[in-house]
Amino acid sequence: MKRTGLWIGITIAVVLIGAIGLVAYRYLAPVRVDIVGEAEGVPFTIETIPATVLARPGEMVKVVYRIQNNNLTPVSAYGAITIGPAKAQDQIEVFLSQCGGINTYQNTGPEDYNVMFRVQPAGLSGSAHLVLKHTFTPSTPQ
Amino acid sequence: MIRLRWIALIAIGLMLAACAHNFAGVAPNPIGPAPDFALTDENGQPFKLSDLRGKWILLAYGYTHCPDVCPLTLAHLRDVKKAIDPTGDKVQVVFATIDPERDTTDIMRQYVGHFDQPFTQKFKGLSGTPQEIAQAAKAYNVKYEKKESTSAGGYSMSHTAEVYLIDPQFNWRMTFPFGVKAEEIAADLQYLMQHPEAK
Repeated sequence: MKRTGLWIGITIAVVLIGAIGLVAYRYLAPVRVDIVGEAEGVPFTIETIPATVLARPGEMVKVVYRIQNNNLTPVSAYGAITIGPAKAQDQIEVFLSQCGGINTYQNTGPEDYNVMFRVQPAGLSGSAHLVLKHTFTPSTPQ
Repeated sequence: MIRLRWIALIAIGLMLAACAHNFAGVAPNPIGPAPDFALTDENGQPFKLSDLRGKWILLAYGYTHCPDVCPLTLAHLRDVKKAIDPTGDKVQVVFATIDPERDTTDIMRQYVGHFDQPFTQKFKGLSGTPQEIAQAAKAYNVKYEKKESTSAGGYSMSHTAEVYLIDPQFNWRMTFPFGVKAEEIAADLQYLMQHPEAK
């Protein structure tokens, strides 16, 4: 009888410690963010540096979109942001690095477009793997 | 007993990890000397950024006709100064124009004067020739371009909207994107003042 009680106690303790550990992990563990760049209608080759980042919750992270304009003349483009998965929209906060938003990319060599963001922890219902995508499309200065 | 001690140590470790200072800005990797540049200050005097060695410098680029981002940035920097160094001269705000066509030294003096009224130590408002400004912007990888518009000013400027923090040893310590709150910048600055070795 005594032994049964001991085993029940141990089982409850193990389950409890495991649950606490899992919750702590979901709130403290880094979130994987894939950095993706796409060009639609602009002659760009885009490299993301780094291509994947492990972001600690609350930490500001800087990534670079290295854009090579393959045209013979400068091209103005606008980078639209999408976050994946759709349910994780609020889990990532992307900061403005440009006032005006439109950038002319010269044809003389690669240009860096910096993006800074921070993530919320995956928590109980969030995602531990996010995708931050910038889609560059032609833009006409207003 | 030993097991309990381990559990306590792990719990303390997790709590410390949760409480560690999360910087709102991004530190350059590696941290190194801040790029220097020469412009003209709001009083028409020659100015080098390195003249401010010994102070914490908050540097931003923008232009006085900017409708939103630049005045908000300067208002944030005013709030940072108010929170950290309201009566002293430890924290110096510097605003450099990227619109030399319109932002003369007189205009810059008037403009930064809207934000530095509470302080005895005035903000620096820098201007210069297009070539000097191009060099000063390039030093911090600041991009800018003129955009024709139908606004009253005739054109607007697209530009990098970041704030750069430089320490008293003239090392570039942090970059803050637009949108980071003044209290977050102040918290980072306060932390770095207390822990200069922190990264």
